[in-house]
Amino acid sequence: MTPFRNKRLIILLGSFIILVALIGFSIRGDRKLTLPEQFVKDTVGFVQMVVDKPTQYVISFIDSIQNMRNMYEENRRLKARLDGYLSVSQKVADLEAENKELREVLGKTDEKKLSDFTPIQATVIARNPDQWNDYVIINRGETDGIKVNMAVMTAQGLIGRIKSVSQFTSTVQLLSDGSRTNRISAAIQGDERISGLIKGYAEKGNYLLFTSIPSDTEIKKGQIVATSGLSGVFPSNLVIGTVEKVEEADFGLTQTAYVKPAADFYNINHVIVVERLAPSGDTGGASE
Amino acid sequence: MKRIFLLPLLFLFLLIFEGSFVLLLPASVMRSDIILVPHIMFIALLFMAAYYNPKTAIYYAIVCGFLYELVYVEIIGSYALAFPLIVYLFNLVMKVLHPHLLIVAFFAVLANILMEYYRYGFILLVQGTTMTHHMFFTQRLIPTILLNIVFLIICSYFFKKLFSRLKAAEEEM
Repeated sequence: MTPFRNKRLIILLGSFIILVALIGFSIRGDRKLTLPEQFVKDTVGFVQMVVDKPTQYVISFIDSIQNMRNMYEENRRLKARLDGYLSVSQKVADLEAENKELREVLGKTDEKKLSDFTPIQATVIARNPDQWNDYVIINRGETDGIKVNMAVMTAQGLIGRIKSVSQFTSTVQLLSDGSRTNRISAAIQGDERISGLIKGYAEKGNYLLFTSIPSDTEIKKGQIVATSGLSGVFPSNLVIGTVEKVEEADFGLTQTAYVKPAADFYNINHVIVVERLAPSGDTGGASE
Repeated sequence: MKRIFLLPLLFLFLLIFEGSFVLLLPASVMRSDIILVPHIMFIALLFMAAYYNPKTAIYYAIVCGFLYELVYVEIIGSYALAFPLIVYLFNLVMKVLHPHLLIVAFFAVLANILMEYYRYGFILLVQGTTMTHHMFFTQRLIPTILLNIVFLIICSYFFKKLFSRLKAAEEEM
């Protein structure tokens, strides 16, 4: 009887110690995935990709049914927005040509601009069911050129960063994730450039918190917030959202702007992983 | 030959279903405050423990817990401990009770509640979250348990039949 009881206890304690060690090992935010982890993720990811095709059909079918209900209203809204499109498009083409000309004058034609990037298309194959963390799994991995900390966006705006990479799949950490290392260096282009940090997400009202803005700068509602490119990790000019309201923080030393994200964090199907082309400085660490 | 692969394939399929489940939810549900978490793989493990073989169920629970964490959560250890632990407690309870479908379903719901509380406690301690108990209870626990009750209603009869048939087939051999 006694040796039997002791053996059970030893197994229990031993496995407890092993598990705590595993938790301690795996909780570090910026570690590279070990080979067995990559193997498991790729295997499950492969089956997920196979299941993904019919799932996509179901999703788009449900979506189109829902869209049909709102079609008239949406059409009206889109027509109003389209009116100014041609003139903005012309202005952008004009500015780009002028920019290119000026760069040639300065002799800087070889350098990559801070906003240049190579897009890598990907589809979402799974989402973290646990929902304590907002992670999304995409079907591109190291063999497709994905590296940790690359920016991920949809056609509407920035949605997150690559958190971990295995050979054929990667995990994206969304902007709405509550992790403490989820920081993005952002800027508003107004009369003068206003830089700050996106430092959190308010579930209530779906706002990103754009903090550490000096309190003497004036921020208006509707200004576009984009990445600044100063971190060395993301390219610049990726749209994050628009300003909704501004509040004082830190007893009046700084301001915090509540930013409405341009992208929808819940209806993510096709994403673009962004590989920055401009050289980055020697910035280490996982956060921006 | 086919029999050996049936159970691992089933759990693999359920694992993948949980990952795609959140993608299939309509966006309006996702945008509202309530959080729906599928636990169907865990429910299948509990039914396996009740109707097939309690000891094998614990081994499967360890493997499934690890897989779940490796693929989705990336903090290995919390689910890997919770799955076998709760299956073990469930076994202790089932040893004294007759495995009637309603009883198993009732204790499966209790096990789910225990699992959610465990996970909440773990996240509070290790990762830090701003979710108060009141928010957790109303926004996450109640909707998730309701969702899993729906899963139970849909799948419990099927699971019972499946595992009873497997057990009967094994006893014949």
